[in-house]
Amino acid sequence: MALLTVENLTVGYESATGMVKAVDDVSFTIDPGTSLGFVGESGCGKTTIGMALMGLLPDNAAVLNGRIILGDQEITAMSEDDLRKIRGSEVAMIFQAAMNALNPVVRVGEQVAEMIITHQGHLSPADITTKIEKLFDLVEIPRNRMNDYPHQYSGGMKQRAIIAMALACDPRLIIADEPTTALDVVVQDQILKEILKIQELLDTSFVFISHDIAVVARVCKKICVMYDGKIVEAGTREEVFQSPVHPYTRELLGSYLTLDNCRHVKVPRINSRWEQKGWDEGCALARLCDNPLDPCNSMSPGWRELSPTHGVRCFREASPE
Amino acid sequence: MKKQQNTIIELNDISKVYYQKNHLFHKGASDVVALKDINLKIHRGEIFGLVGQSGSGKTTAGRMLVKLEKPTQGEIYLNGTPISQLKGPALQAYRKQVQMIFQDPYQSLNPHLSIAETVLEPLIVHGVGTRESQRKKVLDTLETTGLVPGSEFYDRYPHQLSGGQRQRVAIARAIVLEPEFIVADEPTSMLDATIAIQLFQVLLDIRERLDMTFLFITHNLAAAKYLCDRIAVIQNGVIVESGSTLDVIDHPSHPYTKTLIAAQPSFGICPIL
Repeated sequence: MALLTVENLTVGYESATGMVKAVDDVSFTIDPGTSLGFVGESGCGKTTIGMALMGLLPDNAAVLNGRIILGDQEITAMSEDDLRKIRGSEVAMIFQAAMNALNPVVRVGEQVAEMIITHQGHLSPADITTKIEKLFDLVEIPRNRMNDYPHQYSGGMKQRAIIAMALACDPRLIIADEPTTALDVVVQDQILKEILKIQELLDTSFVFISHDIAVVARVCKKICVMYDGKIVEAGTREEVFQSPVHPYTRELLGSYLTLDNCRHVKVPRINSRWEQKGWDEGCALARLCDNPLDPCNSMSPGWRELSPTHGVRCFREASPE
Repeated sequence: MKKQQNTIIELNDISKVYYQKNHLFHKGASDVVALKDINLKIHRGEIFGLVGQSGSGKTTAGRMLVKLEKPTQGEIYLNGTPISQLKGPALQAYRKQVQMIFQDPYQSLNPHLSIAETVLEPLIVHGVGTRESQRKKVLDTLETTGLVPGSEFYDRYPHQLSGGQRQRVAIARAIVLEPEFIVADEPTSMLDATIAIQLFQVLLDIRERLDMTFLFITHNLAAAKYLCDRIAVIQNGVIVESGSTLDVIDHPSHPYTKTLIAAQPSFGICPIL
């Protein structure tokens, strides 16, 4: 049975011009011990999905439709009190800016302890200390740094501390929202290795949100590509990255700069979120597409399955080579 | 002398130490050496990459070039003139010649100033042109950076723009005075890969059209390989390797360069297309 099931999730933000759909009819499942990656550009709705899974949507946002089911609990139907009980213990989140996610005036060890005390209040102080020591060992921060303040940590160590905090109560699902974006490549590499190790060791499921496709390709076996609130392509990492079908996925891959493709990287066309037009009148990507078909401008494309694991939101049957 | 003409910026034995203060009740931490004996020559018209991790001193080097920091030791030359003693009109002339693009477009633009005011400010400070010509210059510069049509962005405010558009405004502000030399400090590290590649095009286009020289500071070797003619790899304030970009990246000789290359994200099992 799937650990997490999301059905037809639609989340909207109230704005001066009316309800804006940030997440539009998104469905996916995650099995225990697996990881799912969301890639897309700023403003495509990937962070909103993460926030909805935690029940942390801001006041001006609302779940307009759909359900989120974790194990046998429906998150979308839970009260705030019940949500607080599962946050940290069942679902934990690693936030985007590690630099800002820690309290600057509380020692790092105490901040990790707070999580354990909140959810496992029956533990004795000695047990809690042992537990924190184990967590620090796991994320490879020296134990003698437990009593330091966040400003004494480097960026990578702060991110490790945040990961330790997320792991503190052995959650079944961790949502990692751009966990390496603020870090340089060497530290990013270390943190990703850390996350892979934790996946293997603890069998925790991950939802991994990033705009960096190479990062997602490294840690996730299944990938969803998002554009303007909808999943446009989903599949295993090999399906999505080796034989991408959707023109948008191909554009994302083609414009990603690596050491090997400097000479033939493609410059993408303008795709700022200020120019996203939504999915109500035809495909949101019709204007950016090389060769749109007739229905692309009038009908919103439906989900089409190419294999049991691979699906795409595009009218075009085969990708134009 | 001929060699002199080619070199636009020269860093000669530059070191920077941040001294820690001793307090009444406790001794300060030991001094931090941010840069140690840096020697660099940047040629006219090239994009020179300074590559290193966070804390390696690369940003300090960039800030020294625009005189936001003073070197503890050593001298920086612009076209053969030492810059440390510049005062008055000579200093103002220097500031007109050397401009900077900062890392984070969400923090480097004043939210109270419209795009027009932001890009106009350098022209007003340096007293370039008349009101009429300034307006035209701003519009042209906005369009050079890809904000087309310029008039549509002229009266907007930063909060109405996306990250990529803000960074284009920051680039416009840096090039509006037509400086000789621009320091670009990780200008795309906060932006999506698709936006980053578009901004690189803007930088390449500016160099072509306006004949500018760039120092491009980054931790991303792929970006350096894409943009730069020559690079220097910096570790803990020391330049460990430098040379033409392709030489350094395809045949790294220093172990630290090899570490950086190994950490560079790639698709591993999933080669692109």
